[in-house]
Amino acid sequence: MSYYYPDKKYSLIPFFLLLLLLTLSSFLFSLLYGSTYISLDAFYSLLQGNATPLTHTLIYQLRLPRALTAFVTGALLSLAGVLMQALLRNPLADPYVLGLSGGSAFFALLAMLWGGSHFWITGSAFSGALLSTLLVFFLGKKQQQLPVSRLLLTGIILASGWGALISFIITITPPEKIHGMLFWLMGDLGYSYNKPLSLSYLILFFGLGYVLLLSRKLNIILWGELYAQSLGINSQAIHIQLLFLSSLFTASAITLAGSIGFIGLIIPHTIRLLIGSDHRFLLPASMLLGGSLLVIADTLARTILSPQQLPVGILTALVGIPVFLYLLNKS
Amino acid sequence: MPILFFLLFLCCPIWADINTPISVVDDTQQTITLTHTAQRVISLSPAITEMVYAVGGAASIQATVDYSNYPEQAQQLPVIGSYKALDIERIIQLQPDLIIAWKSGNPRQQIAQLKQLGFIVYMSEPRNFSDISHTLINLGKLLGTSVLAKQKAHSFQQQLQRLIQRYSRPEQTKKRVFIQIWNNPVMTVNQQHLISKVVTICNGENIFAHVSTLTFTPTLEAILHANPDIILSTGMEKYATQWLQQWQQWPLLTAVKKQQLYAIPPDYIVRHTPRILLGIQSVCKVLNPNI
Repeated sequence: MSYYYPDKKYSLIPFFLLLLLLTLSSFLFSLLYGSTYISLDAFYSLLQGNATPLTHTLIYQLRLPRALTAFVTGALLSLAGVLMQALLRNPLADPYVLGLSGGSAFFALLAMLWGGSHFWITGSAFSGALLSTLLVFFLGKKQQQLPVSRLLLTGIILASGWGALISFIITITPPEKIHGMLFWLMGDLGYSYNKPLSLSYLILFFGLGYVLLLSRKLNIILWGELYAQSLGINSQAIHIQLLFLSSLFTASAITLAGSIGFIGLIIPHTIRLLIGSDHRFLLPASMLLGGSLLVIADTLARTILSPQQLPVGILTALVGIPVFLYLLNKS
Repeated sequence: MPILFFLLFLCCPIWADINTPISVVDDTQQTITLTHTAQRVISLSPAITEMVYAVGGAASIQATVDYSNYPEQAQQLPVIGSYKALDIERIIQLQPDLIIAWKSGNPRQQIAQLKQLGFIVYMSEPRNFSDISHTLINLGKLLGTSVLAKQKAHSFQQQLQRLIQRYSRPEQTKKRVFIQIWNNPVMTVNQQHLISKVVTICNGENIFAHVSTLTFTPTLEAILHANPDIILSTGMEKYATQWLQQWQQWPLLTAVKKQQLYAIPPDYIVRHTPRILLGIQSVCKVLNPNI
């Protein structure tokens, strides 16, 4: 394994420690800040079990579940981004480029239009994302092969198709329902407190484990199919696994928080600029950075204009884009 | 002979009413001039439709927009789109001699287009209760039903004053109210919104009165922190109970502890029409059970 970047393994330890510190700080930030600031003292007494009921509710029922959801969502989107970029060998690829977000958004908005409950909305979002993946897969397939350029083109065309359907839904929707739809389309973590997280945790945990096992092969297929074949790696099988894993990650993220852009694009590239593109490190680092970025962005989304809250997607863009451009310029 | 003179004298004002130009100033300070009373009126909002019927314009109104559900006759009218998306071709076909538009609701470009096409457009933008009576009077002039309109405006003002006096209790502490106008995301209003003004008349205080945006999405945290005494939801009947049910998971809230969760029919309370009196009555009953 280590013959790729023989010196990296240990020199990256400080980097990962920093990332862990960032993750912990992002959580602390999101627990202390909100409509009201909770002081470190109050937070300490909460940990000791003597806090006002209001503080207790704010932290345990609102901020903590919300921060956890944000972290898992950000982590899933970043992982999906890394996988998509490996699959399509294209730096512009992100979880949404193959039309996944379009498909899930269309079905979610349809459920909202019919006044479906929360369960129906998330359920249709999930099925929409999977349906979209299957469409890309079967339409992009050619003679048992999955050519990357054909896959990308199919995805982009499907995405614009979904886009048209979404515009259609928004046009025929009664005005009072539009706000909810727009909030969903820009990402919203406001309903974290009554969502079951456990399935997403499992997907993140086992998904990360699985892709780490794949990471060596991912490094190799980036060099091209011929090279991979010469090393005895079936790149078609890897492509299919990548397609379904990234769809699963994206679909779970959408189910948690609606559609949030930029994370899957910006985070993997930021990590690549910082530590290079060895997937063994790129994957866990992207997960940590993506998770923390979304935790920070969501805390800002609910504090900047408090008591109003903004869709978190706006903030991920505002936080992520300048950081990314700075790094790109520096490299 | 004197009787004939008397009759002539009686009919003259009516005759004059039809033939002399009518001028009123609309809510954008534009002077609207009609050469005769409007015979073919199109209303571009459900509230305006109510107002036209209130001043006795049933015979003149030709078409309206979606959700014009009151009075019942209005439901039979042709519909020319929703207030947010007007069907300009249908409007041209109907050849209205007066269009009554809603400034902040209708798309600005479509209204500009209608004006360009030569239609006479009265812009209405009611901001408070007194705007309801002056709009009634203006519409009365334009539709040639001034007598009825003035009566309606007068009785509206009287009833409004009576309600204000009845519930005015400056010495009492105000009940703190959270107004929920939508669910998923939860949305509320600031003090400039009509609903908030109704709550003020009823001795209540909107917990988000001072936020700068008219309607917005508050964080749940801010609601828990403000801890309202009462939660008022203005959802449609079939949803309202479900919306209110969701507050039960926050027993910390005084409103939940005391089970002060109420639904108010949205039609009574979001439209600037004389029916707002019904809205005031129902909100005031909820906020002041003892009066």
